Amino acid sequence: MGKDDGLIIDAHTHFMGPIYPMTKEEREIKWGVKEMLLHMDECGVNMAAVSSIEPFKWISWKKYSLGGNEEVAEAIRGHPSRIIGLFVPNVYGSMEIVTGQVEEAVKKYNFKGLKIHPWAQDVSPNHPMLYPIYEKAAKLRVPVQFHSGTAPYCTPLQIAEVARIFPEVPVIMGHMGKQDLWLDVIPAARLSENVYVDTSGQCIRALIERFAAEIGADRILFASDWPGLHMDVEIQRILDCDITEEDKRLILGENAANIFKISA
Amino acid sequence: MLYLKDRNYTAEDLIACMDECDVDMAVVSGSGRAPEIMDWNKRVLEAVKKYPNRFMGFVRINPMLEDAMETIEHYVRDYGFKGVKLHPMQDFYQSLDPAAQEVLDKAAKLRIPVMIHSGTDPWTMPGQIADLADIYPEVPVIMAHSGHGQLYQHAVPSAKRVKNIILETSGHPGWQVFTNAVKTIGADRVVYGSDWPCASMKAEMMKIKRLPISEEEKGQVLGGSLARILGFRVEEE
Repeated sequence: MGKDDGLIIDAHTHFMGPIYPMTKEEREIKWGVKEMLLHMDECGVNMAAVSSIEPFKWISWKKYSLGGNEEVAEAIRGHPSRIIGLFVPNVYGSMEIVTGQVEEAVKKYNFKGLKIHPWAQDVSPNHPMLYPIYEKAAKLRVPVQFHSGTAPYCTPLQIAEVARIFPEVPVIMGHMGKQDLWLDVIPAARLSENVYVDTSGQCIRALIERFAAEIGADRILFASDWPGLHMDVEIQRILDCDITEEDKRLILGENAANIFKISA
Repeated sequence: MLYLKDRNYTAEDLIACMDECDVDMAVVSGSGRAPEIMDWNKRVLEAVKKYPNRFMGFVRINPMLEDAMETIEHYVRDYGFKGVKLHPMQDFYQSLDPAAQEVLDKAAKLRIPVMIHSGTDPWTMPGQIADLADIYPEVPVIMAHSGHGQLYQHAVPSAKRVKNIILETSGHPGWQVFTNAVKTIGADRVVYGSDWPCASMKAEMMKIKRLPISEEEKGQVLGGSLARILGFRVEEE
């Protein structure tokens, strides 16, 4: 499987450094657009949706006017056919300003969706303080991706509640509940049709297979969580699932193309 | 496992998967709800008897059962099982429970390793397993899943502190923890695992091949380390 076999879109990646720096030098390592494009080429991935982890930190909004989303904006500008930008809103800011930034991100910088990392940003996804952001996403018709699987802030049910309140917003449950909350994912997806999942970091193949059978492969997006995981390893997880070839095609790229409105 | 309930994976399915992935041998243990576990041990025993060159049995034991020690001894001495598998979450006891200690005491006498599920709080946290292993330094304690998806940050520090901890790679999808593990505690204390059939053996294998470590270290993780722990002599073909 690769470029010649069909579209592959990685729905969940980051610009970031090591999660586990062993030395001060390792802490200086940064994986950005250059490294990502090389890795995408190596793994036969056509496009990738990326967010920077910088804007997850409150302190970044003191340092940069867009909190560190600038790096992704630059990548979109430089590589519009490869990079799908996810804008991380400032959950600590005044919502009037924040929603203005979201609109600017989509209209001026061509971001295709939003990313919220409730655990890293210290807010639960269903907190009403975030509603103006979701209202804006509904108006702009862009999806919102969440980290899921880390209690207490990133549970599948909190994310499903957002989806129920904002049915126009495609809500992407990143990591499919990870290794602790994976059993909540299918019940949560049953609650609202606009709940989508991405497969990054989800090694429980049986869950992906059951989700495809019960909820539908059209609501699953392939993702790697690069640079913490390798794209080709994560593609292999999808290829190894006991699902149809058509389902694999949907998962590996076609669903993401629809949700992020990528025109061929 | 909820989503595997209607599946019936056989020893032959596992062998087909191993052949496809170039895996020579696999450690197998039963997994299931408490009342069914002895049935699963028997199924593992059948598979080991049928394919002794491909499977190594680990007997899954609920240490709360009265005949737990006899069962371990029976499976190891009479059936050639290579180790014990504990799953404190499924069997409802915490990793440091005196009954679990008794299992390690038995393992020390039988000179076999004990594999313990890790990464599900509150009873299978890496630190608890390390504390248990610390009491029996002669028993190799294989920390299955290396802390899993959430508690992986504790795996390497626990193994650094307690030298008889061995880290097993299934269940945690990232590469940085295992790279760190190989650099910190050495490849001889890291063992490849897939968690088949819950996960993809192929992808788990690729995860190891992708680690930025030397070929020699990969060889250890993929088999050499476990062969040494289980006291295997690798035979020339």
